[in-house]
Amino acid sequence: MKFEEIGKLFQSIELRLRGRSAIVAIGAGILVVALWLMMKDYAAHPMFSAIAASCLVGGLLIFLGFGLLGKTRPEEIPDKSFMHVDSMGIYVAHGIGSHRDMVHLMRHVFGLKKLPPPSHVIKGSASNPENYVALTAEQSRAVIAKVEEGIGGFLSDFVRHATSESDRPQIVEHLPEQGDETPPIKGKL
Amino acid sequence: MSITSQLPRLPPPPGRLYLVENLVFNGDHIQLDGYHFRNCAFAECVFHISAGNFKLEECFLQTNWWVKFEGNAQKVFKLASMMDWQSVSPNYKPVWHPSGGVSIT
Repeated sequence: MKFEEIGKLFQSIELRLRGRSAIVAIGAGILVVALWLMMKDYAAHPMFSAIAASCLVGGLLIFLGFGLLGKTRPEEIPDKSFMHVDSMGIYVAHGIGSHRDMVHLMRHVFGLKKLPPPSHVIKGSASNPENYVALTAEQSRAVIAKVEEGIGGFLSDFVRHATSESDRPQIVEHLPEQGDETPPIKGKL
Repeated sequence: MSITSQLPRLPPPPGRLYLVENLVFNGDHIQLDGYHFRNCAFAECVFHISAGNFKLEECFLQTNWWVKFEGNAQKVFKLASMMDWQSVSPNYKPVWHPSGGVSIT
């Protein structure tokens, strides 16, 4: 049987077992049992047991390495989807496995782009330019780093809140913001 | 919709804006969406607006400034440019403070 055919056989078994981890666990289990059998009668044939055990340990490490370090195949990537129903104000995210990915996604949804470094910080009212304190390039970068950190926390809180709310009914009444209701304006021709 | 593809710009839930205050931006391109600017000053800046979910609170626009309308905001602006601004209700206008600051909330 060629190596390619063995690979196909493994893949077929994998698909039946639903996942690479299952086949790795079974394979590792078989190798461990074989290792135990080899070491059981070590006194009877020490040289053979030592060589066989070394081979089995090597094989076990390669097998585990194949399972853990192998490239993810398309069928192993969960389907990810994101839906926003504007009229209801709801978001439905599916298949997003980590909090970090969710925060990253929310940053796109919020449309929050990175701000440029500020030139000054204001100590008091912005109406008086005397209140402007110039920042060095390093200080500007530090301010923006702090803003970015704040955005990360802000979105992280939002995601935590949204996921904790996911057990409750998601459809809520949309409350118009103040200023939403304005009289119509006359068109000009 | 897959997150691996380019996401269309979606408005965030109402009232969820990130507050930035007491900063001066000079000669920069600033994406307003998602931010609530309070007591900030902008000089020679280009504002980019796409979804229109932003707030300016007592901010100062100094010397030259420009706005680039993108996405849906561009369509709203095109329609707004056809309005008879003499008859516009104050609700549609920004609030100018005695200090010279402006609020758009």
